[in-house]
Amino acid sequence: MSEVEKIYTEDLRKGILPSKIKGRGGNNVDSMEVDNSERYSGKGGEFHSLKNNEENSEEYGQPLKSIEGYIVFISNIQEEVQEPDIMDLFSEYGQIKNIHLNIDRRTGFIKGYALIEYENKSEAEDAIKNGNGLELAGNALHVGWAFITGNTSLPAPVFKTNKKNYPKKGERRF
Amino acid sequence: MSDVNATESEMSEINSENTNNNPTSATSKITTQEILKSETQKEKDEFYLRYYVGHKGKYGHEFLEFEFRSGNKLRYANNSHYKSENLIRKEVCVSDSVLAEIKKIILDSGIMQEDDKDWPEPDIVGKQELEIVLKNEHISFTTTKIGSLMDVEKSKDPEGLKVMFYLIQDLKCLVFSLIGLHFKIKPI
Repeated sequence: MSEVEKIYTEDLRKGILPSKIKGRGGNNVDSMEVDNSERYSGKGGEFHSLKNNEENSEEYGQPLKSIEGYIVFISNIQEEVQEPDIMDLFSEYGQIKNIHLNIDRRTGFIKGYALIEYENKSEAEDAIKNGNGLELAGNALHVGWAFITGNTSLPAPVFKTNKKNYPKKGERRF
Repeated sequence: MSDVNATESEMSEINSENTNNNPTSATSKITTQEILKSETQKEKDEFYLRYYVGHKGKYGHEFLEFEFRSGNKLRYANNSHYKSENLIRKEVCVSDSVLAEIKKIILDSGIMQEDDKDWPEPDIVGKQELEIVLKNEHISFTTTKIGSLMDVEKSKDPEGLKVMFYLIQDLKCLVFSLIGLHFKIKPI
């Protein structure tokens, strides 16, 4: 498939982007345009997000509370580590409400990251402070927050980037 | 400082393991730390990922779509008109470490080296779209829904389609965990 030149909306990207797109999606004039306005028209364009009720909620990049607690993200986990290993290590800092240790679909080993949920912020903070850099099966774990408060000053997003005919200014896309 | 050494020795270990056990995988493993350290602000701002899968049928246009865009924003949409209405739209900001993990998954998969020209085209069964901007490369692939590895093997580009097949599963898995834990919903 031939590569085509693309133009990007200014608000989405400040710099110059790769001008070539590889793949059929880049120049296929099919139902995608119709799809997109249909996908996110009316109520479909209203996205639900959780608000941070703390004082620092206006600040970008602060830890963000999830519905039932705080989620900690652990990466660089050695591929043969199993759930009980993570549970043992991170129960130190508080009761783990939930754990996701996802599997690599190709190899069957773990993917190398985990998400754990604590009820309280202090527990999650403890886990991040003490767990970051901890060695498990020879790997130094990287531990941090999964979710952060967003930058509310960012312009309204544009969902699609690979189309030449962008919606007019102010028109809702997503 | 000792941290850096540990990472490096880990790297070589992983690499040697990789060549021993999995000769088909040509991609060298990169750690999320290295991704965080090495990427420029421009590369960080430009990162973009969008995946769509859907079809039109008895229950209208049913689809699932998610995207990661600048400002660390993750958006998730799930549409089904099955049994009245079920419209899910979620948005949340993820941390840089989550983004680094996603970039690692993409880089490890080798998808940026693939091309969709020999993949089955979208059809009545459905459509998948994968769009990624990463490190000055931009891909926008489309294909039909892939039911199983059988479909992959039968296709004209089984190796490339297999890359797509597994990458999508890994990405979906991570996104479902993120959305599921944050909003307490169970996607699918």
